[in-house]
Amino acid sequence: MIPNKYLGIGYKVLAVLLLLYAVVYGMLAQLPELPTLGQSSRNIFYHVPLWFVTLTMAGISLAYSLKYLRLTDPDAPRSGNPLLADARAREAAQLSALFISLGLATGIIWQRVTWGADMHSGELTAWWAWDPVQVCALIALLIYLAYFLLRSSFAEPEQRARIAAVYNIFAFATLIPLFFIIPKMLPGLHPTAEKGSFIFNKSDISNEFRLILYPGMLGFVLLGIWIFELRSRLAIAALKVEELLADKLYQTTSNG
Amino acid sequence: MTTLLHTFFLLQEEKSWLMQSDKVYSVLAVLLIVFGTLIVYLYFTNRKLKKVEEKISELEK
Repeated sequence: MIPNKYLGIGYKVLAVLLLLYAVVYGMLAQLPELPTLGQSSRNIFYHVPLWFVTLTMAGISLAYSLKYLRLTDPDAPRSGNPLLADARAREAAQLSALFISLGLATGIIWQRVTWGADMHSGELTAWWAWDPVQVCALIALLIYLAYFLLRSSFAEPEQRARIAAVYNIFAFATLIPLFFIIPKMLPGLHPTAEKGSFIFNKSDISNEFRLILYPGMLGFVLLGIWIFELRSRLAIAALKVEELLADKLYQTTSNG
Repeated sequence: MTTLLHTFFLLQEEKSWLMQSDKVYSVLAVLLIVFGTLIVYLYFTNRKLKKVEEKISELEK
């Protein structure tokens, strides 16, 4: 049995090593020449993993929202702080939104040199092609931004947490058609259009790319988990401040 | 907006800097966006964490 302390350090070391490998080898490796893409094909090592982190964070957020609902169920035994589960769901959702934004921004840069290569920089379609995958990702971002808007409209923590948890289930459910169904149904510029993910398809991606892409993907996912762990610690500390303030207020009123 | 895009992404010639050297600068731009954003995000998280920890020690006194 590996102690938790070593596991906690081990995955961080692994994340750093895998990311270093993906960045250094991804930039220096001799890769097959691809028409239109040129050297920009290396973007696959840094753009694609962002979507895997997005899905991981959205999954973690969903898990904590479900945990919150289970902990607040009057028929279920209470074993934990429901507000902590809600805070963790919020932090993971925030990271999901961050990684969607990064995926969109990096996609815009990549599209400028490929699909928009012959266009003038002043044209909007040189930067944004209204490709179904792009549009679906933008909708996913708006759905997660609405989650934060919804949270900010409730002052009472328990009411806010309950409604946000229910909305989060809906938000995660929308990711399935947005990322996996609609892009396959519509014609588009992404290689995934009508065909599905090519990342795991042996005939569509060469071994030279897979050798860097897969470790890079794992590295990015581990980095996402690392950041989530940090944000969780912040959420725990913030809850402790609230508890201490409430205690202080109680002491002041009972003394007065 | 158009002028801004011209200033940042278009040189006097027709080719954007992103297209030069067989489009390798687009990879550098992507790396900069990803790691730059994450570093800034972690910096602000760390700053926030320090503030919260200070508040905890202040309240525990």
